[in-house]
Amino acid sequence: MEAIPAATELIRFLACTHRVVVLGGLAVISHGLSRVTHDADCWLEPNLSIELWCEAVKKILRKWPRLRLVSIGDWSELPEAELAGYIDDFGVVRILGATQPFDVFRRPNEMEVSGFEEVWNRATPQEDGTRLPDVVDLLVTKQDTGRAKDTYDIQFLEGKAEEMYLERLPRARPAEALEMLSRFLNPKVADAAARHADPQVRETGLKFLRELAAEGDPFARDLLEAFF
Amino acid sequence: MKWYQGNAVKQYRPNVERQKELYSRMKAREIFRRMSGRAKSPGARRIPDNSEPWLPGGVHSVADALYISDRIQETMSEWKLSPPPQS
Repeated sequence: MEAIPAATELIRFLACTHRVVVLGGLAVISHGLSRVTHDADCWLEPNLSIELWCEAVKKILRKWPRLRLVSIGDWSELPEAELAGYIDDFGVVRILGATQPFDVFRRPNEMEVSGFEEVWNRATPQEDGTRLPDVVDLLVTKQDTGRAKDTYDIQFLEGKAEEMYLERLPRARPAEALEMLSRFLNPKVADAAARHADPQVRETGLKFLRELAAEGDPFARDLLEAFF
Repeated sequence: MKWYQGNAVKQYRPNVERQKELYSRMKAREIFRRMSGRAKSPGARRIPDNSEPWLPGGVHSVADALYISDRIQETMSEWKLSPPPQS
């Protein structure tokens, strides 16, 4: 009888021939949060044509014929012939039948297909051929999901990103500081930028602090008051 | 979230409603401390972190991350704890 594959085997199989970025709970655990996950998520390089992308997914089903595709919302069976249309609409498909459900993304939450190259280049290579996205990129995929279960992940990742930024930003050259600010922002980071040695970074930091306060962030409002 | 020139990934900003909630909690704690006459002691000693990593060498693969998840699950079952909602 065919053994039930672990989701990790499926990811490794994909990563042998394609670029794969790990997402979701496995990525958050890899960044250091002690928590449980019941599924596996990955971003399969979306720069392939939709046909080639679907072919890569179908290869998994050919290798492990007992696996099946289901739609992400209601877990209803998804015929292979409908995969291309489905993925174009929803950006993710679930594979069931392995030890954990396995979600393969073409377009993760809050990401565009065009963002893959940037995310891939910033990600850390792992021993199994996959890459681990950097904290800020992972955070973007957790943004505005509206899911209560993402709250813990967001809190952990925001804290980690903030610590990294507050350590690096004051010493960063202006170009690097501006690049950092274009990716991650919170009141403390904007405040640190507004105290940077470079006038352009200071101006940008203050502008962002004003924006955050105008959006209704009370921490930004308090920090802004300290400037005037 | 906002797009910036040259970036294919949006800028991350914390959710404003959550920030308001955190701010309210912070203010509530301050008021409670004031009312109970307990000021935040600047010299208070913190308990040092004595936790040990699940994998001493760190996580280097998806299998490592799943190993940690499984060990946590086992430990929680042992202690009959129910996990918070997670994916």
